[in-house]
Amino acid sequence: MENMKVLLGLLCFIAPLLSLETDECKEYPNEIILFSFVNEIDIRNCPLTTNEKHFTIIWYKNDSKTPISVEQSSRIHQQKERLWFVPVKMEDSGHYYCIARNSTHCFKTKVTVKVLENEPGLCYNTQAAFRQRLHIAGDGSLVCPYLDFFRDEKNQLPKVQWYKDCKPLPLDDKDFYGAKNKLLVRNVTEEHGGNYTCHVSYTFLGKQYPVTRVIEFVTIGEVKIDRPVIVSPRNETLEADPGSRIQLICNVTGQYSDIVYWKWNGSQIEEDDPFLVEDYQFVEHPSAKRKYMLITILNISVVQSHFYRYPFTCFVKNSNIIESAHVKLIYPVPDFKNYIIGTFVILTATIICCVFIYRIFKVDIVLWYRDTCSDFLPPKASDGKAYDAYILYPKTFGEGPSSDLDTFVFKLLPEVLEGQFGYKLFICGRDDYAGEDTIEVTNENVKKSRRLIIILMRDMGGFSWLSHSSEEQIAIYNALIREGIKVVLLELEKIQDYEKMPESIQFIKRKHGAICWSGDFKERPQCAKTRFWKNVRYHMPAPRQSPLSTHHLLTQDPVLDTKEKLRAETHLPLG
Amino acid sequence: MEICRGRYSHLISLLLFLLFHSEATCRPPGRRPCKMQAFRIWDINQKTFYLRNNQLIAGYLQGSNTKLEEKIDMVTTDLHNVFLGIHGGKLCLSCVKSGDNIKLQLEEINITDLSKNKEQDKRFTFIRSEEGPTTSFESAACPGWFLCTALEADRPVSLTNKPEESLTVTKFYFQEDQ
Repeated sequence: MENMKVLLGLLCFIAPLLSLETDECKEYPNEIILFSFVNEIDIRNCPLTTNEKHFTIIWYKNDSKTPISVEQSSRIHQQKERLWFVPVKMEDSGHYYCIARNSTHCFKTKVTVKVLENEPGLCYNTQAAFRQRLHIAGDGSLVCPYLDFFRDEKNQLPKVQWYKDCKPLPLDDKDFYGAKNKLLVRNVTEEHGGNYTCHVSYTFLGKQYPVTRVIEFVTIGEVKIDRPVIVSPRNETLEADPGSRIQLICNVTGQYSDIVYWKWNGSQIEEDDPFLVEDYQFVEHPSAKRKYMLITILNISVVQSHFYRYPFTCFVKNSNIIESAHVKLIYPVPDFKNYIIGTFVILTATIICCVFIYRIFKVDIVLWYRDTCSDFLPPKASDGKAYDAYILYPKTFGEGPSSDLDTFVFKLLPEVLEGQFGYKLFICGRDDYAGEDTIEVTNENVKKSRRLIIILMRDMGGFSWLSHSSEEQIAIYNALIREGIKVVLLELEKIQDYEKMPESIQFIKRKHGAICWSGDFKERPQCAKTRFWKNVRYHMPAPRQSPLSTHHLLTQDPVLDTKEKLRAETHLPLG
Repeated sequence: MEICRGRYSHLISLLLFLLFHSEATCRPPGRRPCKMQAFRIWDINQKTFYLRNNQLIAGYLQGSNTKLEEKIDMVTTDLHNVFLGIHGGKLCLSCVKSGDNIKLQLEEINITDLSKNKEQDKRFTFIRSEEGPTTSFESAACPGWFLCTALEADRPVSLTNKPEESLTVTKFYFQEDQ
């Protein structure tokens, strides 16, 4: 033992000499300051990492050439590779060097030691605090650092006492549990934060020294992981034409660190995919703080037929949440809306066309209908009328145009309406008897007629006949007021000026218009297909019999006529 | 764990930059933006990271030493795959095999220049997995090897293939720096 001491002493003597002799040691910078508490025992490692063996570590105080003593009785001494302060004194603050050396290499580094006293009224100094962090609501441990130096012979750590804000911490509590160099904290809350101290005692050379470490326990707000929100898509379907180019947009509101990506058929989009390319646009959220709009666009250059089989799913992932939403491509379905609109337009156009056609061909249609459908319709019940129309025409006072009128009234009109279409007309001057009271006849026969046809001519003595002739007055009165008979105006000549006409005629003209004669007055068989005759027939009531049977009936007509006339005759004396 | 600082490394990186510039950057036009984020890392024994002699060390930083704490810069390339770096992404963590040895290395390369599609960048890829509040990082190039710290303080951060063993810590608290 004595020999050993001598040897060590010799080594201590030689070593500095060696260091002076050999080349300069490579110095490593070391910014770490060692904080120690006064009057405590402290043990420090050389911060040079020497993985390789056969390095000798020697400590020096300041720039002293003399190594620190290896005598354990020395207050500051080197034991193995470590520097011991037994105990630390205020004057120990300063620089120390540790030099690592082997046969070929030499490294050194400066170690700054700062000795601290407790802050007034506290059992620690915050300058020496180790900051340790745990998440709120979780479990975790605080560690009393650098206690390995104080392991006993059985390599056991000394018993640690814990204090919070200098008050002893009850261990085995529901919140705290001490184990070796650790303080287990259960269900961390914000109130757990604070300055903790851990104390151990170490006995060296029969004397007990304290060791204190200060821990600033910082609680970290519960990892508030806002659920990222997938704004779009919303598990929807999208119509896409095969072969077309489309974009699927995944819009996520979340944290910058959230990962947004598309998947199809269970796999992510490869960077070399021939049809699918992802594109990214991450912008700060306009309204939410610390949030981002993470837009990931999936460009589909050519929609393939198998793309319809599985949906495209957008995923957003953060540390513990994964959300997804999908878009399923579907083949486009025919647009019913367009069909409906189209149909509606066509229908409207058709209706408008029909209305126009009807307005243009109204007369022909009505006549055609009467011709064709009268056979199928049930025979009309008798309305008690004997004539289809009462013909009211101006009385002629001379020659000239009146012959045309006579031709029309006595020849053309009956030839067409009676001869060809089986109507029965009452024509004054043909169907009445000479000497009969005109007023009486008119009164009687207008009532018996379904229509009142008024023949108009331009030069009829200033049209005064209508206003002056009592016959006409009665006829119009009966037709318009009493019987509600429809009045048909026939202009044999174009009449521009209706001003001079009686009010009633003007009224009828305004209401129903007038049919203007377009042919001549030659006595030849009339073509009933002219517009004039069609218009007249249109205004006439539907024939009581079908035109086919008309011809048969025509033969019977005179009989009927005579019967009628006879009846009129027999009535006469009574009138 | 020594930083590779070869004499020609700058020349090589310049060459690589010129050759692969279009794909090498992790921000090619229109592609997934390179989102480098800083994270505070500390193991479940409360050890933080700091640099000592260009080595990444895990230990307890006292008082004003806290300013030496290294934060991890991370770029997420895939769902779980990340690149890890320090010093603003200028030094990147990689797993390097030399013979039977597997070593964690700090390489002078810009984290944003790494590409997940390049084989030579695979050594920088770590698979990040979470278990409750803690996170583990497994090297993608060295499957089964996890980022770890020694139980003892002030030891280099390294890789272990025995994460269950009690001599190392592979569980880290990993929180985005706010």
